[in-house]
Amino acid sequence: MLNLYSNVFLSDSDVRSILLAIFFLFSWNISSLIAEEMPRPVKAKLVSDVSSVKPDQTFSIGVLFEIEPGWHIYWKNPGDSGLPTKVDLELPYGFKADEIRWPIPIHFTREGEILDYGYKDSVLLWANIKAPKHIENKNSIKVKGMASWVSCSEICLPGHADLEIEFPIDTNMTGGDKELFSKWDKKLPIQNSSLSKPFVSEVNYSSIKENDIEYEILLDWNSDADNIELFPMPEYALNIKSIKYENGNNTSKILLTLSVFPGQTLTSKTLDSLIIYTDENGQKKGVDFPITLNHLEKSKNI
Amino acid sequence: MKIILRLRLLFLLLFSMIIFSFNTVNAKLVKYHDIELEDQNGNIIKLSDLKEDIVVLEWLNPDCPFVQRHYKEETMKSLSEKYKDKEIVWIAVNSTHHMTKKDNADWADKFGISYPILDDHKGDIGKLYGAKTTPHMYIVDNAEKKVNYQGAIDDDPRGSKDPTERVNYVDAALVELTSNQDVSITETKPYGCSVKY
Repeated sequence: MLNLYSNVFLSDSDVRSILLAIFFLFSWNISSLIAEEMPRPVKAKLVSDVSSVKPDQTFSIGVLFEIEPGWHIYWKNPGDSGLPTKVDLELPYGFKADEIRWPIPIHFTREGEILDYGYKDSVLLWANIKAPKHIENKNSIKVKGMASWVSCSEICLPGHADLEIEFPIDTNMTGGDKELFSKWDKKLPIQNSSLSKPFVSEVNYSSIKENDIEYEILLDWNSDADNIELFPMPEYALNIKSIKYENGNNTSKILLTLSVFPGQTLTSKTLDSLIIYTDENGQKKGVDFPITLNHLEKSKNI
Repeated sequence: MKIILRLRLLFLLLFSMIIFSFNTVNAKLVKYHDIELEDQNGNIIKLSDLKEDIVVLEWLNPDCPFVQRHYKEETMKSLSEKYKDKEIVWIAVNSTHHMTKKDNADWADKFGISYPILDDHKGDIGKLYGAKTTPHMYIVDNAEKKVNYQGAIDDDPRGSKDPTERVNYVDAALVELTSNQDVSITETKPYGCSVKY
């Protein structure tokens, strides 16, 4: 009888092993369920317009964000809420990157007069990279990209990606997604100094009260333009109080009211901004529009 | 003729003053508004009935990652406890349209919060105060019916700084107020998720 029982019943260590296995199985199922319930509305991947690198070559690397419908991520000025999307590139020795390029954003509004700036569907944030004249003792190089963002819909979710891409050196491999980079290059704002700028502008100012300055931006358009907006990129100490628009026949007036947050100091005499508009072909366009804060400096600390 | 000219000049002066006064509305801190809302325990909290002169209002949303980070780091809880014995009351307000008193109670239980979390799911109070983010902080003087500070909890939206290097604007303002000084930084740009009215 005892022998029968010893065959049927398990030892203490067997029971412990089985319970531990059940516990881990249960935990794995729970965590899988939790992972399934948390949406992941943004996918980020590192992309390039080349598939191999040669010495002294200039090429592009960026992070392509693919965003689920109904969600958005933020521009370098997120607006009233959110957080700027961040892309950092870690390059091998001797390689240099210029500044990250930001395609023209759109605005998002929410009840409560909340105005944000960002991107939906997809966006590529990228930089141009210059390879050194000599790349020694390497068959390949690796470039790392770190991306962090907040994506929002009815809820907001933080996101982060550590990415890597490897390039063989000095081969004649063709490849890379040149079409992707060309597509997004067309979505960059044009420089204020560009001859293709579609307006002539004048900026006047008036002081409303000791801390508030109102800038009157007058735009004289040389082609049809609709949905004209000013997207400012203020530094932390600069308070965008209001932006108002008046549009006439091929002219626009933008009234921009600014102040410096009390107890804070401006570090720059320029407010970078974009003039965003829809052109005669229905395309969203943008122009870099720096505003010199000549008169704000008289009241505050520059 | 001279009288007409003087009247015209006077009219112009008055008109300019009116225009400038409209334009100065945006230049001030938000106006004080009394609040009367139910907290997570079913108590009706009315700002003007409080005996404390200084009230810290904190807009929150348990779904917001910025709020979640601060509650995990106990930013608000530790600050509220620091000033508990100094005649300062801490009140959280939840203007998230789909949240309930039970959501506020669950949040309070989860983080061991003893201060009121007011149910403003209709958003009326949030909009009166111009709350745009969670968190969005206000320090209100209940006696003088004015706002002493509005804006961010601190200068670290990403939470990437060492906590000892962060400037906590609310703490700094409360130090000044409890020392009978004027608040030196009265307004900053708030950061966080948008309030989900």
